[in-house]
Amino acid sequence: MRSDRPTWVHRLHPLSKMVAALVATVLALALTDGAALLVLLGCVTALLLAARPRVPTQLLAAAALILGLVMGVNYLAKGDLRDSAHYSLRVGVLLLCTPILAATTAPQDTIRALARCRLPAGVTVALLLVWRFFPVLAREAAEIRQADRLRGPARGLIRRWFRGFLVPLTGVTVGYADQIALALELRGFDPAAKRTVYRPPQATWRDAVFLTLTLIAATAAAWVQWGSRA
Amino acid sequence: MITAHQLACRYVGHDGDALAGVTIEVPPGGLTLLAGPTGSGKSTLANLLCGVIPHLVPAAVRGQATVAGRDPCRSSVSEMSHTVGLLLQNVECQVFCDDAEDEVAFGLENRGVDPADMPALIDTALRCVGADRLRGRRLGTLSAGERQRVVLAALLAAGQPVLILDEPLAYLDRSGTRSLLATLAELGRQGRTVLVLEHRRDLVRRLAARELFLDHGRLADAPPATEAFSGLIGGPLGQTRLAWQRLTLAWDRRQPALLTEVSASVRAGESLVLVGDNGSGKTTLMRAALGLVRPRAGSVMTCGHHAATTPTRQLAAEAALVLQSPDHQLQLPTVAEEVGGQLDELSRLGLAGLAGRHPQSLSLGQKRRLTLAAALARRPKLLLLDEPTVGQDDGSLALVLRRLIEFVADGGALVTATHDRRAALALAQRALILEGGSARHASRRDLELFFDDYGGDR
Repeated sequence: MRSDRPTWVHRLHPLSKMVAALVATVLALALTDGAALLVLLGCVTALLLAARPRVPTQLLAAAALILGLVMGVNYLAKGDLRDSAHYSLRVGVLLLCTPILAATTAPQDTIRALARCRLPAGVTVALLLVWRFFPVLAREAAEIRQADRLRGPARGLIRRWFRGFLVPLTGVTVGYADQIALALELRGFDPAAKRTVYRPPQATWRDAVFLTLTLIAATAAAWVQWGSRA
Repeated sequence: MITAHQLACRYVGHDGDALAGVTIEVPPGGLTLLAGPTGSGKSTLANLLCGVIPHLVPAAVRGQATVAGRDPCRSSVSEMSHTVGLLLQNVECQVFCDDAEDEVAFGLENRGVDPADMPALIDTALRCVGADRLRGRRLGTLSAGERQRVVLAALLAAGQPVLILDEPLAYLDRSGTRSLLATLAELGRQGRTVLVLEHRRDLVRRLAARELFLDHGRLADAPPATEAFSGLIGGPLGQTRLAWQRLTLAWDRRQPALLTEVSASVRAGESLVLVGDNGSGKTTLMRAALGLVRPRAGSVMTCGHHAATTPTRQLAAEAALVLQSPDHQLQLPTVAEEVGGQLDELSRLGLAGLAGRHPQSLSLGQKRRLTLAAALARRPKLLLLDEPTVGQDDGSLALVLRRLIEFVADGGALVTATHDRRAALALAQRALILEGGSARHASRRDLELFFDDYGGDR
């Protein structure tokens, strides 16, 4: 999931987006009222739409499937439709927060922002590698699935999944990890050495406005649950 | 600048020496070609000069080597990276950032360069490789050649006097090959010592100041480069095995069409070669033949089936597509199992003796030949190959071409996408040139002109 053109959400400081994602995550876990969760989900969805992401249809279908499963399993376990819907809303918020951050923030900007927080270079560069790894893994998995189909008719679903998908994916992943570790050393990375930061992200008035809006949205959601009862 | 005296190397757990007493002296400046058959010790020598061996890959090293006065066995890889820049074959594994400027800055940040000095260093490095127009571009939107250029700039920004490039031409088209070689030659003239490991000696020799040739881990006299292979002789043609009919293809629904109204067919006993620059649609066209890409318009008939409506597994019973990356396609525990026990296919492609090995333990060139052998072992009526020449030395390439010629002579239909002039001319009975979103049919003569267009890719 990524955006075609940069929007104001892209231009926000990575730490502002991290703070907002953290606030939304904590609130999603704390809120139990359906209306409050709806307010929170509405705000997160508005932010997602503002970022104008390209969302593949399969991803939307997968998200809908996960939400449906969460609701179904909860309903079967507790027999309470209302409670099951709350769970789905909560999972919806949690599912949206990280993709918004990932789709609108360049990995190098994130590690530069974290480096300013005096996190060790070993940690920030490890985060960068993990960040880059997921899209690579997704691309490789898609290629491997296609390559398996090209081998012609096959018997046994589990055998096919193991040999046709898991074995090549493991090989490719180990190979990628080896190569990226080598490339990192060849580019002069030394976790013990001092790293400098080129073009550190700068906080602007947009971040002040965004964090204020985050605070207002969080307060509104909290008020719906706790304030209206008082 | 680079010296080695009686340099020998034996990998842990191996019986023989990968390098057996190599003595070389490469003076500062200029482009040096390091050639030799697969397994001759080229990569071992490059890894030794960068310190990858013995620091990251354990091996017993004897003799001495120095690079710009530094001993790679006694300096760590990151220390050696101040002296030697190594461009790995797989560029994708060397990219850490999203845009070109940040990618070049990444190495400078690692070295603790003052951020105030970085813009000038980044500018110089990007300009040096002709990539200044790529500044600010997202790397995901660049062609393979452009991405390689950015990674090269990222190496150059650190100012190392020595650059080593491992098969840099493997995936480049005519223009990418020509401009990269011109850039490397210019860097050599500016005083950098550039060592290029490459199978396609015919391309590099004309610009190289010197050539080192390794054979079985020892320096040897370089044989003449193979500039052409014997080609296909036309025979009787049979049924149509593949027909693209007014086909329009795009990467996805939001993108403009990649290819428009392409019509072509291949019959039994016939060989068609697809050529075109990086991103021209060769791979997409072949994927459409096996139903892996849905056409925006038009249709594909593969061995009598509609590719868009027939499951790929069913099409694959009669047609085989060998993709670029062998790692995606090899999944069985032994080489022999990959070819269904048909060991003659292994020996015809120079893989005899490897039947008991795990496919992932083979070299890149061997893996690619194994995927070809596995495809041929299924006795397909139609065979589609995406860049089958990558990683093949002259001897291996001759085996591959000979086997493909036999396949066509036995009534198989062959489609090959390649950037390699020698392979294209050896296999082309007919050709399809993909340019500017359309395809034009070409004769052998047109194909020769296509490769001569850029002057350098011979």
